[in-house]
Amino acid sequence: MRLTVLSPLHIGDGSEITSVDIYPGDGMIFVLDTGKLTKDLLNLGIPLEEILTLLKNPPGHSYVFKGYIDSLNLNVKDYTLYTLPLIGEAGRESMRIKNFIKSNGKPYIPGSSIKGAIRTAVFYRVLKECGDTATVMDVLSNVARSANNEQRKNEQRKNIEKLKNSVGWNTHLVEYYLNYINSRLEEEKRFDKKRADDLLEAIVFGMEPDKDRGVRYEPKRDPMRALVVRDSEPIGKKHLAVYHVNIVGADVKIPTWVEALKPKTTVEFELAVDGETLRLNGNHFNGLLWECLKNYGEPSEVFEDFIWKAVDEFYGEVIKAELDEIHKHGPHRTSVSSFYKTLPEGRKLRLGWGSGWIATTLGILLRKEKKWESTRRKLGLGRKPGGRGVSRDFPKTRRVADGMPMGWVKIE
Amino acid sequence: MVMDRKFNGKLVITGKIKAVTGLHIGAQREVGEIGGIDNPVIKDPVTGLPYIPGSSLKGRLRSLLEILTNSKLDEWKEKYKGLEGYSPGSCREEGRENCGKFFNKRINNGWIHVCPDYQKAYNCPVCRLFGASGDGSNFPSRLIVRDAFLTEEWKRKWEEGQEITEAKIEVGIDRVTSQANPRTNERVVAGTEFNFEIIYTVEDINHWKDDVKNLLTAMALLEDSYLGGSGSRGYGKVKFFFENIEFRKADYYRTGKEEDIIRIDVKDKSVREILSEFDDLFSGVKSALGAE
Ligand SMILES: [Zn+2]
Ligand SMILES: [Zn+2]
Repeated sequence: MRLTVLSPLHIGDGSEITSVDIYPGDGMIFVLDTGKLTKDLLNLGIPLEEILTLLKNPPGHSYVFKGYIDSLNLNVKDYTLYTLPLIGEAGRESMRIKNFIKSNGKPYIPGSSIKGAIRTAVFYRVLKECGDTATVMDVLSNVARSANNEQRKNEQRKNIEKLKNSVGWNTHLVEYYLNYINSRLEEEKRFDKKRADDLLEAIVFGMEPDKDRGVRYEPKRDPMRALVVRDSEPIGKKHLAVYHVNIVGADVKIPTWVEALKPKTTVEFELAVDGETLRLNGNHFNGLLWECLKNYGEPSEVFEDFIWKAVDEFYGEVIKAELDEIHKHGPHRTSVSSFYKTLPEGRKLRLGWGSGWIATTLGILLRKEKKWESTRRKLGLGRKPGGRGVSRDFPKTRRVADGMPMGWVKIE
Repeated sequence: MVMDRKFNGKLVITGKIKAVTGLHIGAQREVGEIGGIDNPVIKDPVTGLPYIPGSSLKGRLRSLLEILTNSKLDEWKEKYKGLEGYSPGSCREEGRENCGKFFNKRINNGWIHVCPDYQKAYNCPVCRLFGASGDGSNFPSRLIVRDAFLTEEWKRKWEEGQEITEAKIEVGIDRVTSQANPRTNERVVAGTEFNFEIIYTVEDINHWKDDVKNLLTAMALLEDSYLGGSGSRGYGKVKFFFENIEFRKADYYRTGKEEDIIRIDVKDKSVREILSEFDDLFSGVKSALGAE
C-alpha cells in the first residue's frame, strides 16, 4: 500500500536534539558535529573549563556553540552534520527538537503506528454497532461457559457473571464503562489513567477470565492479530523538516519543535490480512468484535471489509468533530478549516504525535454519554496547570504546524 | 514398518537471512504483544551479538508448514497417508489432545500439530521433516537448522561502531484518556544479515523431493509472514538469499572426495525461483539417488 502524508507527521523515537547541538539559521537548522567543534575550539586556545561552564550555565541563550561560531567567525558549514529545513520560527533563547523515528539513519513509519490508528477506528465501530448490553452479555456468557480451568472454574464463572450483571444495568457498554470508571475512581486513589481502557479493550477485542475484573485482555484471542502491518520502507531524509508547533488553547505556552515528514511525502508499506489465522482461530476469538462481524457474514471473510469501513467512518467523524470545534484552532482556524474542507478523496488516518484526544480515543462516543462530564473531571482530563481546577472545555488544545492539524495521511 | 532409518546423504543449504524490518527474537519466551519496559533480544553470551537461534527459525518454519498442511488436508491425504486420521482444525475447543483434529497437541497456551506415533509421523509432511516427539515412539527430525550468526560484513559494521540493535519505543495510547504508555522493545535493526545453514538428511529416497519442496515452501511462507515477536505490528519481515545448496552423497562421509558432492547453482535465486525450477536444479541429485 501507499501512504501519502497530508499534513506534517511526527512519529517520535523519544529522543531530542537540544540547543547545544544546534545552530539556528535562516529557515534552516544546522545540526552540529560538537565533537569536531570542541576539538577545534581547544586548538584555538579556548579552555575546556570555559566550555564546560557555559554548557552547564548557559548565558542569555542556550546556543552555546553558536556563540563560539559567531564570535570566532568560524564557518558553521565546517561543523555541520546535516541540515534540516525549518518551517516556522526558531527558538530565540533555546529549542528542543523531537526526533523522528529512524532506522539506519533513515526515517520510516512503524507498522505499529498505522495499526494503532486502525485499531482505534475498529474499537469505535464495534462499540457503536454492537455495544448494546444484550450483545455484550451474550459475549460474556460465552466466555463464562468456556472457562476451562477446572479448579477455578466456578470462581471464574462467578466473576464473569458479576461483570455481566453489572453491564446489564445499563443500555450500552459505553454507559456501563463510564459507571465502571467512576466506581473504580471512588474505590481506589491510584487508578491508573494510562490503563483506563483495559477492561473495555478486553471485552471488545478478546479476553480470558480474570479474578479481579472478571475478564482481562488476551492478545491470542484478538482477531486483530491477523492484521499484519509492516514497517514502511525507509524514507529519504529530504522529506523531513523541523516544524514549529503551535499549541493553541494551552494555558502555558511551551514552544515545541518536531522533526516531521512534509506533506506530499509518499511511502510504500505492506498490509495484509492473514485469513488462515482468522479461520483457524474462529472459535477461539471471543470478544465483541468477533461477535459483531457475525452480523455481516462469515467473520473471517468480512473482517477486512469491516476494518476499512471502520476506518472511513471513524476518521470521517474525527474530521466532522474538528470542524464543529474549529474555533478551538484560534488564529489558525481559517487555514485548518480549509485544510479539512479540501482533503483529498480516499482513505484517511490520523497518526503520530499531535493527533489529539478525539482521534486517539473513543472520545466521540464517550462524550455523548451523560456521565462523561463528571467522569472526565474525576479523571483529571483537561486539568489546568498549577493545580487549580479542570477546564470547562475539553479537549481544549490543538496542535497546529504550518497552519495544518498534524498527522493526517492517506492510504491506498 | 520397522524403525529402520537409512542414510542416503545430506543436502546442505546455506545463505543469508536478512531482517528487512526490525527483528525481535526475545531473550525469554514471550507472548510478543505484552512486553516489559526492557524487552531485550537474544544475544550470543560470548560475543554479545544478536543472533537467530536455529530453534526459533525451525519452529517458525514448522508452524507455517503446519498451517499450510491443515488448509490442504483433504488434497494431501492421498500423498501423505498419515494425514488420513485428521480433520482440519484444532483440538482446542474440545480441550483434549489427539481429538482427531490436525492441531492436536497442547503447548503452553497454544495448539500445534504433532503425530502421536512413528508410523503416522513417517507419513506426515510436517512430522517426517521436523520430527515428532510422541508419547510412545519419537520420530527424529530430518532437519538441522543451525543458529544464524551475523555475516562477516555486519560483524565488521558492528566493530566499526554501527548499531546492530535499536531500542524502539512504542507508545500505546489509552483509548479513554489518551495518556501514553511507552514501552521499549529492543530490535535488530532493519537490513542486518545473518548466515543460515539448514541441513536435510536424506533417509528415504522416495521422500526427499517432497520434503525439500516443503521446506522451501515454508521458507517462502516465512518471507510473507514474520519471524520473532510483534510481527503483526511490523517487526520481523525476513528474506532469504541463497549462497549454495549442495548434496553430499553418503559416500562423501566415508571418502571425503569432492566428486561425491553435487553442487546446485542457486546463487541469486529467490525461494520461489528455486521452487519453480526445482526439477531442473535438482536433476543431478535425483539421478544420484536413483529413485524418485
Ligand atoms: Zn489499555
Ligand atoms: Zn504429523
